[in-house]
Amino acid sequence: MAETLQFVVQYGYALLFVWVLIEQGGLPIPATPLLLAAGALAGQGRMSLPAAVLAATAGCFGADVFWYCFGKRRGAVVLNLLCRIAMEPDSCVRRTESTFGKFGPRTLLICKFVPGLNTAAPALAGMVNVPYPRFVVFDLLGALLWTTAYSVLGFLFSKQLDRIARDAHLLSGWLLVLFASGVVGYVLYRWRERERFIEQVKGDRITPDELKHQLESGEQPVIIDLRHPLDVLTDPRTLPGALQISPEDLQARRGEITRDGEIVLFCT
Amino acid sequence: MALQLRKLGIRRVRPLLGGFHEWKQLGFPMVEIASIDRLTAGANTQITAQGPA
Repeated sequence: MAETLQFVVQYGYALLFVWVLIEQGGLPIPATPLLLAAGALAGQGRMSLPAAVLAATAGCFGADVFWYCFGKRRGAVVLNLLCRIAMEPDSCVRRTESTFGKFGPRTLLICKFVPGLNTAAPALAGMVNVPYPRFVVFDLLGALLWTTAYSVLGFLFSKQLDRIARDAHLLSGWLLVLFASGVVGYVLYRWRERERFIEQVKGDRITPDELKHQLESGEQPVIIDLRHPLDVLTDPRTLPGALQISPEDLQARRGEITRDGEIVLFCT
Repeated sequence: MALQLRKLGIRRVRPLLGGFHEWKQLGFPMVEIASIDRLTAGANTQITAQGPA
């Protein structure tokens, strides 16, 4: 934290702008400690709180406009690309779409506080054609809410943060090792779990050629279109004979799915 | 999702390799979804539909 504070003092508002811009652009660099540090510095009178909030908000908004335009232009490809960076790509896409489906553009107000959703939501807003003025209003408010929340938190606890920074400096080596081990252990565990499941499902996959051949030869496997309604809006077509069942409805509509034959699932 | 279906007792589950995107890229047959309004009624969004990509 001491290094973070010094770093922020040295490069100031430009650093805040660029850092948040890059973080919201998709690179996995944490912006929260920087916002807390800016708030703490403002609490000590070494920075202006409104100027820090504005610089961070501008960076955040700049990155979001980029993703909005990219999402509008390239559609679902962008969302998949963004979520590929996340720990759980499949649930990232689904979670983003479900939240957006439920709250619409209001998702932009809270998305900055939800890991995985923060960068993906502006792209999805572009993808589903949220009007630009509406996007600007909600996104700016969301960015302002996020940057203000953490900066004010840093401002309010500036004395405590300074003390933590000094104490942490004494233990910095051990804390770093402990923190790094925890993060690496967690990442490895999640990666292993995911790999195990993917291996299990991979062997059962059907290729598009194989499915087309089955359909042409008169076999009719049950095909389930699992795409989210927002994805269907972007391309309202499906495979011949496919049932539209969202994962949320799977339990309720399981009676429509025969257990005897083969079930082919597809998503975006 | 495959796991969820297996938990419901549906065992012969085969995910489509490459999904809808791959099927579309290959130019394989597709049909229009007739009940698009019903399908999207649950999605409480103030959005407009885009045409096919």
